[in-house]
Amino acid sequence: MHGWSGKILDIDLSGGSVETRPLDRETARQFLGGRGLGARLLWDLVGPEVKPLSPENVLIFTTGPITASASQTSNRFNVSSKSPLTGTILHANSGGWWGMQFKRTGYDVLIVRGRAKNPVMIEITPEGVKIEDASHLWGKGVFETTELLGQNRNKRNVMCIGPAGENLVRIAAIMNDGERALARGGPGAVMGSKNLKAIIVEGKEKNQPADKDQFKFMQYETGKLLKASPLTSQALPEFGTAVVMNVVNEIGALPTRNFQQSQFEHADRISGEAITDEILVKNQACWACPITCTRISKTASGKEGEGPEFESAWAFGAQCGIADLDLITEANFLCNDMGLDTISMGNTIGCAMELAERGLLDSDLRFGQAGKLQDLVRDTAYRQGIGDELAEGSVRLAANYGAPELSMTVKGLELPAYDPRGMQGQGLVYATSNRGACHETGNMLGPEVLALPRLIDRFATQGKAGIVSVHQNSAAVIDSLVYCKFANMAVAEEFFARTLTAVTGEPYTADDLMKVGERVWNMERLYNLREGFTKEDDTLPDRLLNDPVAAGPSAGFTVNLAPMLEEYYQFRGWDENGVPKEAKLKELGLDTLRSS
Amino acid sequence: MAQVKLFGNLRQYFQKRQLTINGRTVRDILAELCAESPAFCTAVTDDDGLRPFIKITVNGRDIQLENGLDTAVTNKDTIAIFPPIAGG
Repeated sequence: MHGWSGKILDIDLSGGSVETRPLDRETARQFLGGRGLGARLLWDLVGPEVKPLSPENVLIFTTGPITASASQTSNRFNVSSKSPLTGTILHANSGGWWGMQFKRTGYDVLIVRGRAKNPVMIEITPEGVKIEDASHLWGKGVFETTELLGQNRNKRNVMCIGPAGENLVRIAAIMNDGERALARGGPGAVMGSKNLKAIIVEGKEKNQPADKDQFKFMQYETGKLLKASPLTSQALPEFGTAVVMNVVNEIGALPTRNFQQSQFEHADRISGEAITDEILVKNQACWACPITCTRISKTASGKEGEGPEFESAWAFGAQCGIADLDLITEANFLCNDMGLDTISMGNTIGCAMELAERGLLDSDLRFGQAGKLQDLVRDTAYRQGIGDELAEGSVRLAANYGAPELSMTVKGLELPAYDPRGMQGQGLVYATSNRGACHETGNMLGPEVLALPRLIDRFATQGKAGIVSVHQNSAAVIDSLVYCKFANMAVAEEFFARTLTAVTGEPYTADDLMKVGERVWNMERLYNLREGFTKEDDTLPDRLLNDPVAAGPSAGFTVNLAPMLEEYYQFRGWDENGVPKEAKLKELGLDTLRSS
Repeated sequence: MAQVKLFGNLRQYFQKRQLTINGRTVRDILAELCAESPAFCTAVTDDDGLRPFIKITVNGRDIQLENGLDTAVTNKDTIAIFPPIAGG
């Protein structure tokens, strides 16, 4: 195998069939792997007539050409599907070990279709592929399931759902290696709808570089860059991803109490610095990663686990007005065990808190009630009491109580930890993200806050469309190779292209990669358009468009979205309705899809 | 006196999260801090000024987009100094 093994494992749980199909080489070249390849395959497999939780929906697990090559951070993988939360294309990716191990089984892609009659698990080993009964595991948490199935980091890796996925919670995650999550958009519910509890992988094959000497040189060069950058060699290892909590708060862009404010008075108590000082046991790395940003934490009550990273600390912290780091961390641990997306969970709880404070939801729930987090998370996973409503996500929750404007979502996906009123470009990223509100699809934290690669005015709107588009295309490339975005803070696309060339033996330039990124973005856009989404969905919650920030460094600002969006459509080569023009589709080789 | 907040590993040099310092510009404030802790000075500055990725805000506004180290400060201002940070 040089990059691609060329094989797709295709399993239909309804009939129990297991097939191996070839991966079309040209499709692989055009979309690379990961998120891009997942989007292209989903286009053919899941049309607008398919309901997300029906047997006709599919889960497409994809690796990329550099996965398992031992290039730095080459551990990540992707899942694609139709989202039960949003109805949009779903893509989510995760680190750890599972992706690397799946690649070693000799497949690039795993497609799971249909619905088993009873709970099952899939085991892929050098001895073959087995679909086995998993009734004895149904109802168990992620941690116990992972241990029972023999998780062994470098040899045998377990991916599974928890009770949340089994109970079709729309914000359920798929968990791999115990505590890593394919989280956004509810992939855990899709897996639960298929009665699929777990997928276990053991592999022996290797992703051997076509040009070993060049690959070793690129490993050396990449390692030097990661070591030389204070971002990847100091900031992330020392304080984890939550080290950005204080700076985002200081500039007035930390959403607080369901985005009612943009600064949290207790931000420092839930920051990366606080995590390191108070609860950090050690930091940890994913496979083949020298950055080690993962936190292993232990709370005062003795509970130990992975997290919290920035988004989780924010979601249960500032978003809910909570400053108790121990209880925030324990809510994170519980989400991991139940199999829940921490961003959507915390964001939805914040929405419920505001509904209750405004007297719309008959509950004594209030902002700042840290002691209620555990019960709310558990009740969501098991769909008990108010949890049954939280399990639907904040769009459905807020609509049920007659206040849809209190749902902080785009296209139905809960917003992450940046208030775009203080980062205008981030507002455009959220509004145009194909899977709904998401920072990972083109994060503007770099240019608007961290001066990476250089600082731009975060309140300006003119010219943001081009920068956002380039960031989105770049993120799509990284998600398709599949690399970790933190590596990209020190390593430019040119280095990824040279490594890809060394692994596959096929010439790639940075420009080639960016063209792939643009193709992937437009592919996803076409998918959503076919599902019935329109330019009306490229928007933000009313609060962010119409309610100026009341105090702090972003005081007086709303998101001035309309001119950015107009400029964005033009820059993308789309018409005034946000539909890619024929010339753009032809340029990207997507014109045949449009007419089909 | 202006409020000066320190973040990340910059706190180790003063064993404090916040200080109050007199000065008319950010440059003055840094000079005071450097006088108190040469190690802090080395961590934050080099011959060209601020080291790469060191971020300083005055009332939440990045001094890069103001007047750099010559950005004026008053006794009512809050200056935040960050080491290189990444994440999200």
